[in-house]
Amino acid sequence: MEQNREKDLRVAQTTFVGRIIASFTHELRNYLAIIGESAGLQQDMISLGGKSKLDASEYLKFLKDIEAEVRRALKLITYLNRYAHRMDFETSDFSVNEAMEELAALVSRLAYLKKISLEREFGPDIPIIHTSPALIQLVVYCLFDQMLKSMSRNSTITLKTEAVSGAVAISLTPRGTPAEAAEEGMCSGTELEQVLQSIGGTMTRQSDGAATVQLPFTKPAGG
Amino acid sequence: MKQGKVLIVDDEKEFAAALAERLRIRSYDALAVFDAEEAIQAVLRDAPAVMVLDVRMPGISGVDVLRAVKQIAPRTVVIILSGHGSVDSFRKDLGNAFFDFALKPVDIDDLRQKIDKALQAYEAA
Repeated sequence: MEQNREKDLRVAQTTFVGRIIASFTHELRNYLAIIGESAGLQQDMISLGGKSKLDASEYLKFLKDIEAEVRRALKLITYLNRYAHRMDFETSDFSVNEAMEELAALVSRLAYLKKISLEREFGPDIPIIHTSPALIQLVVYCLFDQMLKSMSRNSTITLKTEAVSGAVAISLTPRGTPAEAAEEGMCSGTELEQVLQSIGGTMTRQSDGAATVQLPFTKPAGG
Repeated sequence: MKQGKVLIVDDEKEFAAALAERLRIRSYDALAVFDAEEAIQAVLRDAPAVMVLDVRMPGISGVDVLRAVKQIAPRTVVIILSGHGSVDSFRKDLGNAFFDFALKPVDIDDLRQKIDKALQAYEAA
C-alpha cells in the first residue's frame, strides 16, 4: 500500500516536472523565434540598402522586439531555475507568495492555450514557512490542472494566498462555464490529501469547484 | 513575385509579422494572421497555396484549424510550425494531412526550400 502511494507520488512529480519543462521549452522557442526573425529582418534591410519599404520607426520596432523578448526569456529562465532549486532539499524556508508566483509564471501558458485566464491575488505579510515547497507546488498544480480540464474557454482561475489564523491558505477558484466534457486531472483527490497530510496540510473543496489548501505556520529552520 | 499566396498563422504576432515581411522581401506573396479564426477567414477569402501553421495556438488548436482547412481548401498545402521537438505526435493526430514540418526558430533558407516544394506540390495537385 505504502509502496503504491510512493509510486503514485513519484509518477505525479515526474509528470509535473515534464509538463513544466515542455511548456518552458515551447515558450523559450517562441521567444527565440521572435528574436531570430527580428534580427533576420534587420539583416535583410541592411542588405537591401535603401530599397526596403519599411521606414525607420518600423525598423526600430523590430529592434525593440528583440530587447523585449530577451527580457521575457530571462524572466522565465529565472523562474525555472528557482523552481528547479526547490527540489534541492526535502524541506526549506520559503515564501509561499514567491513559490506561487513562480508556479503561476511557469504554467500560465497552459492556461493561455485554453484561453483561460490565470489571475493572482497574493496577500501581504505572509510569513516565511518551513516545509516542502516542491510538494506544495505539486498539489497546487494538480488542482490547477483539474480546473483547466473542467473549464471552458474564456473562464478565469484565481490563485490566491492569505494568512488565516495560524496558517497560510492557498486557494484556487474557477469562474466561468464548465467544459462540456471534463477530462480527468493528473492527480486523484486521495493522492492530493495524502501528499498534504505528509506535510501537515489540509484541503477543503467548495461546491463551486474552488479548493483551498491550508498549511500551518511552521517556524523557519533558521529561527 | 512567386506564384501562390503563402499564409503564415501564428499567435506570436511579432514572429509572424517579421517572417511574412522576410518572405515578401524574397518575392513571396506572404500574409500573416494571428489566430485560428483569422486563419479560417483568410483561407475562405484567399485560398492560399501554402499555409505555414503553428499548431499550438490559444482557443481552437492548430490541429483543428488544419482539419478545417482540409475541408474548406483541400488543395492548400500545409507546413506545420511548432516549438514541439518531435513530429511524431503530429503524425499520430494528423496522419498525412500536412506536407512538412518546421521547428521554431526557423532558418529562413530551410523554410524557403520547404515552401518552394509545397508550392510545387500545390501546382501539381
